[in-house]
Parts: sequence; structure tokens; C-alpha cells
Amino acid sequence: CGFKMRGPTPLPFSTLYTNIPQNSAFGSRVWRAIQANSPGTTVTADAALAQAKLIQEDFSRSQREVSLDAQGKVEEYELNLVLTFSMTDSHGNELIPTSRIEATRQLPYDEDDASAKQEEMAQLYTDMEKSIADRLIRRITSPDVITTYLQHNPTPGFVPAQ
Amino acid sequence: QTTTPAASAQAEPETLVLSDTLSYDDKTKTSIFNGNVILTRGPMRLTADTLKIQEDAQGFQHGFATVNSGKVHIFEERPETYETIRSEGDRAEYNGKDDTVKMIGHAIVNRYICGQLIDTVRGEVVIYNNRNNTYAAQGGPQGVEPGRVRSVVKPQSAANEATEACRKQYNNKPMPSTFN
Amino acid sequence: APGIRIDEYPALQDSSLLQVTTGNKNNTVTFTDSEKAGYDNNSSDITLHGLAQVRRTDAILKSDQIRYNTDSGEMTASGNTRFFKDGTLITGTGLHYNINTDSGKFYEPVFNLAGGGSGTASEAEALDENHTRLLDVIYSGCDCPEKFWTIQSPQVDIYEDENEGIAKNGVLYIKGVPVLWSPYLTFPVRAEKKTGFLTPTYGYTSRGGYDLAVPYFFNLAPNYDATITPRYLSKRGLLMGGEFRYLMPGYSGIVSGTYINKDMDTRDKRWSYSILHDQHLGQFLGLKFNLDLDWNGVSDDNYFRDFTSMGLNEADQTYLSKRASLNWSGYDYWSGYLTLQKYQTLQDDTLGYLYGQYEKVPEFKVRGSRYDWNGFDVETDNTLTRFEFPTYFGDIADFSRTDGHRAPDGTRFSSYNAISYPIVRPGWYVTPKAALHASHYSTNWYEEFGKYGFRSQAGTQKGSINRVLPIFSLDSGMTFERNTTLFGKPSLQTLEPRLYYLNIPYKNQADIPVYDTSISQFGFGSAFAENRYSGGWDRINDANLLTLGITSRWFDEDSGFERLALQLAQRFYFEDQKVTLPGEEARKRSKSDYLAGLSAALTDTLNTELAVQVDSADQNVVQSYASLHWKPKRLTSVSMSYRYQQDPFLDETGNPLRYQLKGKETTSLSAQWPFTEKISGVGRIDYSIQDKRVTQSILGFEYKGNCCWTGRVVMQRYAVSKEKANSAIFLQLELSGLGSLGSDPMGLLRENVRGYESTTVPVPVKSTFERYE
Repeated sequence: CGFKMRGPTPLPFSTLYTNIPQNSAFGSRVWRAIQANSPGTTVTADAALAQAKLIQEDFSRSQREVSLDAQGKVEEYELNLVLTFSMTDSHGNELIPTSRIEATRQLPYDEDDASAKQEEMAQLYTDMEKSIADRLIRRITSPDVITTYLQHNPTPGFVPAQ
Repeated sequence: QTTTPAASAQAEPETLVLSDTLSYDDKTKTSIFNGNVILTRGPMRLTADTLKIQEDAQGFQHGFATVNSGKVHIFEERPETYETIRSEGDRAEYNGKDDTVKMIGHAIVNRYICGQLIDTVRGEVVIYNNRNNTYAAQGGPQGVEPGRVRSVVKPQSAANEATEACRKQYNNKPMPSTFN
Repeated sequence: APGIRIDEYPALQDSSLLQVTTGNKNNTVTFTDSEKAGYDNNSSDITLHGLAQVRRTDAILKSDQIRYNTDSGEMTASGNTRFFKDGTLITGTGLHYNINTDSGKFYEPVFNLAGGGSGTASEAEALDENHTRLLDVIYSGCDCPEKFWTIQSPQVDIYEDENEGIAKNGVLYIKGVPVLWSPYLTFPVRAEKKTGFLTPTYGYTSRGGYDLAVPYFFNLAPNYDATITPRYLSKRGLLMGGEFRYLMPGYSGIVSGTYINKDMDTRDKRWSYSILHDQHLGQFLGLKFNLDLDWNGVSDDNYFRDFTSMGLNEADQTYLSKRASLNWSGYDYWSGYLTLQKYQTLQDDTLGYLYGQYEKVPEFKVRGSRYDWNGFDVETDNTLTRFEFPTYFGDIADFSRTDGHRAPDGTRFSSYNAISYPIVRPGWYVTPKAALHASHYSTNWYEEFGKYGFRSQAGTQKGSINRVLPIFSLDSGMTFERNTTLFGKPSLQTLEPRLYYLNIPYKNQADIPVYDTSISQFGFGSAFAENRYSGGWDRINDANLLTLGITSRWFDEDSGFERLALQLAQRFYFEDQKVTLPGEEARKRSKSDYLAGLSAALTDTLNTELAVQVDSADQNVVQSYASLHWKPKRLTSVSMSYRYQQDPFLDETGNPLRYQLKGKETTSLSAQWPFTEKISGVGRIDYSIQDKRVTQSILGFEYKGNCCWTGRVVMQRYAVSKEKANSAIFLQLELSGLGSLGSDPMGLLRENVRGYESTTVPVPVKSTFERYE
């Protein structure tokens, strides 16, 4: 049925700066995926040196009471996590405009177990972070980004993925 | 080079005109100077291609200066206040009776203090009144901006600073005239 | 004297580049333009005729005739003058003004102030740069042709710096009808925080009666202010509310409270308070410390049910948190806190059910985590907690035999240490993870109460228990791709099988008390998690299971935007469940429910989500959720959702087994919709199909008057307890420019309507860049 295992997608830039904290579950997942997809790309802490910059503008969690039970007690929360990010090359040309990746989860709530539910919420947010990280990688390694980068910074000898 | 002493009565500054050629028409009492005309009258000097000077009945002289190309220029000095005024226009008219000079056609007047440009006036006609040290400007079709008079005036503080600079430079004595 | 309190909705600020740098007054160059001009060098006077203009960087004057002295800055103009200065435009028949001293007179001025106010006067005199006096004034908050409200007064003094206009013997007219007379009427000239009354709120609530709240705002300083809100309720009396907000470099917070001396209904004193405080304590021994406080209290259980305020849905508060926490972090990888967590529990006597939960007095945590430490992820999470269940002496239930105690108290130390080595390749990944969880419980079972004392799940009363459990998991997955099309667009489809093996040996935990542990909702998150119990892990499930998941996603080929995701998952247990929470029925089946989920961004503005959980044994739906969210453009959104939860299994005595979610079937519709340019509505209706009852409905309409006024009405009805519901209606008339409201009530609905955006955009101050001729 035409499926084949996903191969590496080398990226034309070899140095990448990001303000996503490396020592976090989200940051390390993003970074490992970039490393796996484009072994030639390394992270640099110095924004000036980097050939490309991945900027996390906002990463905000929010929750909303979605339903009250007949007694007026919160019965379910909707958790929302939104990553706002953009990507530019070293000259500031836009590789990815400011865009959002969003994840939502439903959490049945029971006020009597507030601390158990808080910890469950934390677990759901971690799971949402994984899903957002995977989608972020898809955006970063997409053909759009690669062609836009090459337009502004022609790199002879760069072999894109087949 | 010929000079004609001014014939006015009071202690008028002497008018000196230099030009390539001079011709005199007795009937109309008009003397016509031609080529590199330079008229000097007291603190004022006018340069043009041709200058006609007529004497009216009361004996006042009226000058009409024109140019074949470029502009008529007037340069005026006020050593005591370290001021110099440069103006230009398509043609100039001097009225001896009320001691005014009229610059006509794309007239521009720049006033400097100690070499610093203080204000500029642009219009179709600019009339100089040397006696009470005023000038007036009118807009018209041949104005630098048709129909309008425009001026740029630096603040008094800038004028005072420039005066102060020259005062120090010439330690309070009037600055030497550049004419003689 | 209306004031303005700017709430924290995120408004765009002028960029600093837009600041007007006023050069010093007397060295600005003057440009003139006219038909005729006369210059007198001695007196440095300039007279201009014929559509004359004098232009300087700080001011522009246009008039038929102008006499201007560059030395003194005196300007005299006559014949339809137009005068611009710092965004303010004054037109009139003439003026006499000194540009250097900013003082002078305007004759028959019509003015449009930078702050948006406008009006006419017989004469205006600028006494100095800050103070302008106007005579026989008609003033309104904004400059539009047919003014909705005006203030008329023989004399108005406007103080620019204080942002205040004072009208002596002023009369407020609304649509030409005199509404208010006051010897001393002040109003703001710019939309900035300013001391004064805020827009009052009128309303009616079923439990409070007629309701009038008139907040008064004290703009004490740019970074701290206070609001006093006297609120009269016809059924209860005068409730005084107060709030103090402060934002300092090192600390910030909000302290608020309400107080009523004698509630006519309950005949006694009632009050509430709330303290929110956050403070950076700085660096000590290489650690950054900060303190945060969230301390609330209320006089009695029914306070929030009786005193609900507009838009806010506080009635659903059962536990008022009293939390103080000292947090620290440092040395790159370490963090932790010392927290005191207590609750004030608001019982509902109509319910016959006693609320309560453990308090942490206190909890001390040390956490260390290091990711990608040459390939390894390591973390250690250590918590020491003292649990106490609050005693109860009320009348809903009798606990006198145990001196008010309702559960054992005790101390727990738990330490979770894990190491994993994720191997990630473009097409596959394998993450082995090993962890060790060690915990120690020392518990007081109150044996002294004999048979009324408390016992563990196993019936024992062990004072000291240790538990050490290894946890091993292996997470692995692969990604297959192919090019295909979705909705006609070229896209990339993936097939992502995932296999998660978890092994935790069994250890009898029936002696261990349960402080803060419950069952996680079974879903995609918990299906791939180590422990099906969430919270403090008083129970760690024995596990020898395999979770199989398969996800298929469709990405737009070029941009990599995820358009559609389909997920399936199921757990296979190789051993029966042995560890249970007290009262939990052990699973007997070897296969978990099926889990299926779909989320699709059908178009850029319409996305949908479906999730369903099917019981693998009898194939009926345990739980399902569906939602559709449509957001065509700004200020417009509609979302519908449906939720079903199967009724919990009943035990032999007929009451539901513990830890089961209550059965429900509810639908909810929420929307924000601009009907016309002027009218916009926001609404939400939650309907419980099971109880055949609307549990909550909110309807709000906002009418934006064409000339500086906005009318709002908010209708609300929600359950506040088993039988009682509170219905409320609130009205508000905002005269923009006279004083905006404290908090935008339509904004208060933000939590209730998904994707709600506030419609009120603050009136920007007109800078010189906007009014330029």
C-alpha cells in the first residue's frame, strides 16, 4: 500500500539556535528529533552564529470549566496548550511565520481529589507537549522551510531527502 | 570702468557702478550699463548683466537691473550686527525715493549672521526697505512656489549665538567690509 | 467624578519609537507659508496674509491672518484659525497665543482633545502647558457628530498631567436630557487609570434581589491601585467590597475582600477575603527563592451561592484554597518547594454528602532532572508530606465518637528515581526506562477510638510501612509514510505503530493508607503511563502489560501542517490486577477497552474532535466525547460539544463503586457572534440530557452605540447546589470617555466561551502623528 519507513530529512543549515530550554522534556524531545532527522545540524547557544533560529514566542497552558454537574460543581476541565513559534535564517528572512500549534485534552474532574487531579493534569500536559513536539518537527523539516532557506542562502552540495 | 557719483542731496552713500560699457540717453536721462555690471551703494552691492538708471523729476534715481541668464544678485552687509543678506531674482528694481530695492521673479532672500543662515524668504517679489530695515514678500505666478510666499526662520537663540560668535571673533568691533 | 481602571487585557502599546521627543522649546525652526508676508528684523515680527500658516515641530497654526514674533513666540491670528498642538486641534475665530510659554486665549474655540474628548466653548485660555480653562463649555467624551452624552458647564478646567477635567456646576446630559447636576464634576481627558467612579452595574439575582454596585477606583500610583465597591442587594443589604492591586519590582499581588454587617436574610455578619501574592526573595546559597500565597476564606458555606457577582461563576467553589509555598530552583537541574496546603470546605446541606480532602501541612519536595546527559535522561523526585484530614463537628454527619476525625493522619516520604536512554531515529525509536520508587508511611490510625478507629484496606493499622518497587518500561514505535491526497490536497500520510511494555512487580499495598491517590481517566495519556493511579502514588499498580497503539496522520505536503489525526489504542494485560484502591473492583479481563480518537482541522477555521472508549468485553460505549469548533473570523466563534459517560457499576448494596466517574450525558453550545456592526452576542448553554435540566446558561448582548456609548446586558442561570439555581441579570451603560468599566463583564465570560475575544478596544490617545495637516 505504498508505505515506507521515514528516512532522514537533512536540513540545509548546520547550526541552529533555539530559545526552547534544552533541559526540559519538551526541549530534549525536539532536539533529539532534529538530531535524528538531520545529523548534520548542531545546536549553538550563540544566536549570532546560528544559520537558523527557532524562536518559541509563547508556550501557554490554560484550562476551562467545560461542564458543571447538576449540583453546579465542575465536572470536567478542558486543558489547552498552545505553542507560538517562528523560524528565521541568520539574516532574519522568515522561514516559518509566527504560527501556533495547539493541543487540547478533556479531563473529568473531582474536587474531592484535587491534588490527584492536579498531578493527572500535569501528566496530560506532558503528553500534549510530546504531540506538539512531533508536529513542530514536521513543520521544521517540511519542504517549504528547506526551499525558502535555500532561496536566501544557496548551499551548494546540499542533498535534500529523496 | 566708469563711475558716476550719485546726485542725491542728503548724506547719501555714494553709488559706484562698474560695467563693461556705458551709454547715456540724454532725452530720457537714462544711463545704461552693460556687461558684468556691479553697482555698489553703501553696504549694498548688486550684480547683473544690464542696469538702467533713470532720474525722475525730483532727481531721485531709479535703477532697473536685468540678466540675460542666471539671476540678478544683491549682497548686503551690516558689519555692526555681523549680518550679511544675499538675495537673487529674475530682475531687480531700485527706488531711490523711498530707498527700497524690489527683487522680482523667483525672488529668494537669505539672511546670514556671522556666516550662519538665519532665515530665508522665497516668493515672487521681495521688497527691501533699507531705511526701516524691513522687507516684505508677495506670492505670485512666478513665485518659487506659485502663488505662495514661504519662509524658514531660525529661532532667536540661533541668531544670538551667531552674533555672539562673531562678537568674540572680532572682539566687539564691527567686522571688516569685504567691498574695499 | 468617573475614573478609569484599565484591566489587564493584552492591549497593543505604542512602540517607544513613536514617542514625541520635544526638543527644547526655544530652538525650534519656524516655517511660514502665505500669500503675502512682511518681516521686520528690528522687532523680529512676521505678518502673514492669505491662508497663512506658521508651522513648528511642536505646533501648527493656520489662519487668514497671522502676526508672529519669532523672538517672544507671540502669535496673534484672526479669521477661521486652526491650531494643532500635541494631538489637540482647536479651531475658532481667532487666538492670541504664546508658543514659548504655552499660554494664551482662543476665541469661540471648537476643540478636539488628544484624549478623545471634544466640545465647544465661548473662550478658552491656556494658563500654562498643563492647565486650560474653558468658559461656557459643552464637552463630550469623544469626537463624533451626534453626541450621546455631554457635560455642560459655565467653567471647565482641564489639567493635562493629572488627566482631569473639572466642571463647575456641571450638568450631565444624556441624549439632551439632564441626568446629573453636580457643583464639582470631574472627568478624565485621556483613557488612563484615573481616580474616580467606575461604571456602575445594575442587576437582579434570584438569591440577592435587586443589585446595584458602584465601584470607586483610587489610582494611587502607576503600579498600585485600589477599588472600593459598595454593592446594595435588596434581599441582603449593603455589601462593601474592596480590592488592592500592587505590582512592585520584587513582588506583586491582589488583596480583596467583602464584608456585610447584617445580612437581612440570615441576620448575621458575612464576609470573604482573597490574598494572591507572589514575591521573588532573591538568591541564597546559589538557589533562587520565591514565595507565593493563595489564601482565601469566607464566612459561611453559602456565601458564594448568595452573593454571586456578574459573570463570575464562583458558585462552583467547594474548596477554598489556603496555600503558601516557598519555591526554589538552582544549579541548572534542581528545584523544589515547601508548601502548606489547607482548604476551607463549603458544605452543601441540601446534598447530604460531606465534602472533605486531606491537607498537606506541609509538603517538602526536592526534584532533580537532567535531560540528554550524554544520551541518558535522569530524574529524581523526592517528597516528604504530612497529611491531616480536617475534623468535622457540623450537623450533616456525627463524628463525635472519633473526636471529629474522619480519616487517619500521617506522614509520607516518597522517592521516584528514573533513568532512560531514548534511541531516536527518523523512522523508529526505542526508549528503555528503569525506575525505582521507594516510600515510607508513618500513620496514626487513631486506634484509641477502638472500633470507631480507622483501618487500612486490609483492615490493619500498621503505624510504619515501607514500600520499594522497581518499574521497568520499554516504549518503542515506528513511522511509515506515503504520499497521498486529503480533501483534494497533496498530503503525506503516516502510519505510526507504537508498542509500550510495562512491568512492575506486585507488592501488597493494602496496609497503606490512601491520602491523595485516585484512578487516572483511561485515555491516550494514561494508556502509555507507568501507573494507572494518579496523585501521590499511594498505590502503584502491579503491571505486566503491553499497550498497542496505532496512529495515522495526514500532513499538508509542503507546510507540514497536521490536517487529520486518527488514533487507536488498547492494553493487553498478561496478569490479573492485584493492587486496588479501597472499594475498587479489580479488573478481571485481560484486554482493556478500545480507545479511539480523531482530531481534524477540516479547514483553517473549522476543526473537530472525536474520542470514544469502547468496553472490549460487551462492546458498549464507556465514554465518548465529540466537539466541533468553528472560528470563521475575529470576534466570531461557535463550538458545540457532546459528552457521554457510562453510569458507574453498582455494588451489591446498590450504590456506585468508588473511583468511578459519575454517569452523565451532556451537550454544550457556546458562541460569540457579531450580529451587526453594533450588536454582538455571547452565549453558552449546557444541557444535561440525563437530568433533563439546563445546568448552566449564559446569554450576553452588547450594543455599541454609534457615539461613545455601549450598552450591555448579561443573563445567567446556573445550578449552585442540588436544588437551588441562581438566575441573574446584569445591565450596564458605559459612557466611553466618561469612564470605562472596571472589568468588562463580557470579558468575564472568557472562561465560558471557547475562543472568546474582548470586543472593547481601548480608545487610543491621539498622538501628534495621527492628527497632522
